[in-house]
Amino acid sequence: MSQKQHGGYSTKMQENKNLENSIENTYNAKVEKNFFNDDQLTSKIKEMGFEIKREIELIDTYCLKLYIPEYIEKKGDYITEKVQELANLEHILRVEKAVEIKALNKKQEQYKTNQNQQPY
Amino acid sequence: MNQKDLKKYRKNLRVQRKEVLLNKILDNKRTNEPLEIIIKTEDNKKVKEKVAKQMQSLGKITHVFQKIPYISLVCMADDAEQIFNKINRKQTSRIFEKSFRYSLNAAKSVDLSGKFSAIPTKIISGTYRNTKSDLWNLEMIGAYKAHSNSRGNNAKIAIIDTGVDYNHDELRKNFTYNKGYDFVENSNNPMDKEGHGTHVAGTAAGKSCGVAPDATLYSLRVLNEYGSGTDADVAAAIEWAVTNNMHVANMSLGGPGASSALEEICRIASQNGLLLVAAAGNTGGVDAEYPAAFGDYVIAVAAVDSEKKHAYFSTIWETNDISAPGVGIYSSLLGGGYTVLSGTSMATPHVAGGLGLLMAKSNKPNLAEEIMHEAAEKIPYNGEYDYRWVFGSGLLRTDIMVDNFSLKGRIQRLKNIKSYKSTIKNVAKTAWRILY
Repeated sequence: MSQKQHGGYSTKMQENKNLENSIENTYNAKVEKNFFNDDQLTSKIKEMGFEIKREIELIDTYCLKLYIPEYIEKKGDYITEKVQELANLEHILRVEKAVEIKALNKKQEQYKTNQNQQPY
Repeated sequence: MNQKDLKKYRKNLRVQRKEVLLNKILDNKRTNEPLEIIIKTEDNKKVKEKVAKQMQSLGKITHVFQKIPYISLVCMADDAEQIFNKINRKQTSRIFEKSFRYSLNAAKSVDLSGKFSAIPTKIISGTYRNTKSDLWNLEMIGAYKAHSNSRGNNAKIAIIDTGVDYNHDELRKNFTYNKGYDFVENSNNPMDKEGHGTHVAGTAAGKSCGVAPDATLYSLRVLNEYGSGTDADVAAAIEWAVTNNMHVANMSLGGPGASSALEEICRIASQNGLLLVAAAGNTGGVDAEYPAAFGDYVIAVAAVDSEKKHAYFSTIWETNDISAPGVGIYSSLLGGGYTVLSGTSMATPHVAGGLGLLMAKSNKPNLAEEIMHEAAEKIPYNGEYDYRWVFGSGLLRTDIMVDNFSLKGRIQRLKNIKSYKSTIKNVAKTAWRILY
């Protein structure tokens, strides 16, 4: 039985957790064209604590996730500092927070018909 | 229940069934639509077959049952009424031919098919298709008429969504060895784990539910099993679609936040000839949902219901481009079977499929989009908002789109030939002057 089919509350908790996981501490950084896939730049980014989750070559953009060490107490301040440091890096043009995207179906009236019954 | 009560119950049931049939006949006479009836004959195989053969002149026999003395028939409402009256010994205005009277005398009762019958109905194709059926949405946008000119063969449509069940009977033939990509788990297996994408894909290109049933589909999974994802994954999926020469990308997804990365990739994709189609949103109010609200680069789709009324949940915004059915849409269900969903998500693949029908004929995305707007049907509206903010250009009409595309294509080709001839003429004139 999948997570989704458990009791309502725990399903919602899991869903929220998953939503958070997908965009939490995630940023899109646009790079100068000639420096996309530049080894020096990507090394610096990684040293700062960012993981490169996605590379979108057509728009010279990295999707980066910041991992916060456990010993850090003031996580908010840490994040602000790191993101600012990233934005100040040479050859980085822009840094923005990742945006959540969702499926757009309104309501579910789900029933399963005869497996082989095609629409009438 | 004792015998007396049982008799009374059965009599009430018979009366109810007759009422249901008569009501249906009245409805269908008004709308001039056929209906399916079930006729009980004498319990004799030869009689049943003779009745079936004679009934063929009235309509289309859909089933002759082997084990029970019934036949089912699709016919126009007037004929159904006459059959009903004759069988129930009422006055009939129609004089049936002698040979026909045999059938009617051999018939014991007539019922509306599908209401009280436990007998499964078959698919009715062609002229006698019931327009009030599950697939009213395809009828409304003229998809069946469009199919006589184009079924989307050669069109490549990317479904950027929760994945697609490419093993579903409805969709199996739309996929090649290259199924697409899973950006959530970074694999080559973009199988659906939520259901949304499978439903969307069915409307875009399913073999019986789809607008462009012969199109090739590619599943680009960007939303997880909770229907959620990131703008970066969507951007990466759009990049994939550009790199792999898709004609149309369907995005039945959105978020309230505008992302520069997503806007930029939409702009580049649009400049590269990829038609991006996105759901307007389900906020029910005046709002911007992205990527639909990116304006020129993305075709934003609003939803209407089966009465061609604005769906209450469909987001109203200045960038809305076109409307399509989005309430109670019947399409493929993850794992097999079919289900009904509502949302601007469901409206969007109608447009993706419609554009696929055009791109199958000729790879001219700007012309396809232009024709889509020109062909749109104006929807009556008395609401408080600007018409275009609610409906865009109006209701998608794939039949008119396909007709106009062929005509416009021909006219444009003719213009090109004329300009080619004129160019040759000018070159020749110039050469003459130089030489002589």
